[in-house]
Amino acid sequence: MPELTSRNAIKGGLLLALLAILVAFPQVFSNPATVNYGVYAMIFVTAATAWGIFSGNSGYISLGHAVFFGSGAYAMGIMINAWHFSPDSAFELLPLVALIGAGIAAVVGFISLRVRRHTYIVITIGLFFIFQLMATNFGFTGGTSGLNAPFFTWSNASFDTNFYYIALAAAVPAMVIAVVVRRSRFGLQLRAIRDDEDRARGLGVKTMRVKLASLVISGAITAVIGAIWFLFNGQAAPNTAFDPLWDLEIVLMAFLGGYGTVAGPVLGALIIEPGSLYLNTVSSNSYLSEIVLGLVFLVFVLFVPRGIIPTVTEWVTRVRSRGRPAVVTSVVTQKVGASR
Amino acid sequence: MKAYGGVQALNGASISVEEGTIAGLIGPNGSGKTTLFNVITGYQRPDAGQVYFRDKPITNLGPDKVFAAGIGRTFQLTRIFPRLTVLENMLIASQHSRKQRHTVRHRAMELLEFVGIHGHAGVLSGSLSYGQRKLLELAYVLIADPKVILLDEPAGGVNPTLINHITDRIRELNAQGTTFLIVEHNMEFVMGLCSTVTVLESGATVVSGPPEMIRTDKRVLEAYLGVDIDEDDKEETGPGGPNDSGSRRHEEASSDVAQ
Repeated sequence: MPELTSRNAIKGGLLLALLAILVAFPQVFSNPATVNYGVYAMIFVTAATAWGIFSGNSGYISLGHAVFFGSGAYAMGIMINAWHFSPDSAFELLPLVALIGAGIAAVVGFISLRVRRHTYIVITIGLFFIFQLMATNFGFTGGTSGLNAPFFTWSNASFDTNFYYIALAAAVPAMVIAVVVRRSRFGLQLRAIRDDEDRARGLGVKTMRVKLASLVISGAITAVIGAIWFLFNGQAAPNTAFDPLWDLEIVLMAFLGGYGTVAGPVLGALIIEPGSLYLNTVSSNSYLSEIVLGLVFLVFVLFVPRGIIPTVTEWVTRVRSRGRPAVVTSVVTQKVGASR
Repeated sequence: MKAYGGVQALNGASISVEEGTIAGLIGPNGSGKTTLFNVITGYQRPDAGQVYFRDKPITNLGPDKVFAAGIGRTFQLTRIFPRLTVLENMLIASQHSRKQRHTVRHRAMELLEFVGIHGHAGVLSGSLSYGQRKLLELAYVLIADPKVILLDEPAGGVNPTLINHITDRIRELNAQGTTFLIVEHNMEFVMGLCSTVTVLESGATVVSGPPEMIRTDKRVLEAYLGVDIDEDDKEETGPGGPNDSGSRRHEEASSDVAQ
């Protein structure tokens, strides 16, 4: 299949180029304000990718992923303060944060994954508010003022650059995990659940186990990026670490880029996050970005409902197959013959 | 017995299928055929009654356990995974297989070729025609090597050429030892294929016997087949006794769903 290999080569080349651009970004645009955008973009790339690993594959739309994000942030804050970690060594706690995120996801999933579709969405929102209320009302979470991160001694310029690379170091493995899940038998089982859960169960897919596993992976990644966000942001409060708009934003990113694809949430995050940060700086009205966000969502739901990646892929296929007979099947048949 | 609210979908339905045969299940709409299928395959739990498979009760097993035990089924409105490719559909159904991945893949392609849709292996199964979906569902049930296959209206909404194709596939599989239980409204299809036909009405078994007997049974004519067959067949027959559930020794899958 020379066509397929060349396609894979193009894909691989594009990915390498993308990685090179991402690595070079803070060197080329060294202005701290720009790098700052980059850090937030990488945080959202990671979060949206993590969301996609669970929701994009399984079809269970979570509107409460901030539960894991906020829990990661708070877990980091509580542990640092309790164990008196220096800021630089705080990153050693990230594996522990991942474990905590995984544990919370396991418990939350065990409760919520028993219901489907709309009911599931409502339950995730409910769980989200429970977590936000807990953060507000418990003593060890610092109440409404939240927790403060330790002060980094890095210089102003290197602070943003360092955090950019830290966030990138979370985003890249998250994307790799998303690709691996997507291509694995596990990912196939998840997508079967998305299409017809009862039938998948009837055919022997351990649906609860599979759903729970994907939520645990997703929750662990989201918690880690929440902890990184906390260290970068300097503090976590109930209304910033557990932010309902944050939930909507990552879902919007995934849908804008292409729900159910790996590249979709990444693309969506790269468009929306810098976009809304930019709107916040040009306008004194901080609600402008939210209004625009809502409008963008509306336009996309109406005109590009499947998101950018699937729609563009379809255009490309249509343009490339123009003039050719509409039979896709002969290629596959040859492949069968060859594999014998 | 299976009751929906005040309605009893099955009450006194008793059917036994002998190993290696093709059995038919007919009855008017709402007579409980699909419910009976669901009860046998674990998609619904009976309120009373028993299901046996090779003398072992499988009454309250989940659908996955029933499938693993060797009873595969298809659905009246096919249940494939539309956003997975045809080949991926096959792989999902091979969960219980301990074979190597490429062996499973090879077997999947063989089965797709067997039903005649191997040319569509890489296509999203949602883009298949209705008849092709039925073939895919049959193929992916086959990948688990079931001993018994329950087909819910395999010929419904399918063009005559494809019906012949499906009939041939069923015969071939049966010759290899697979037992079938088929729900179907297409009388020609059922009478031509099945060695035993059971008639269900209002959730109860009316009669069970070879097609020739069913064709002429008075109660069946009244309950289901209507007048046209009556005209065809003037021959007088004795009443086929109600399904005698005495001989359950050779049964492969037998369900006795009674109060």
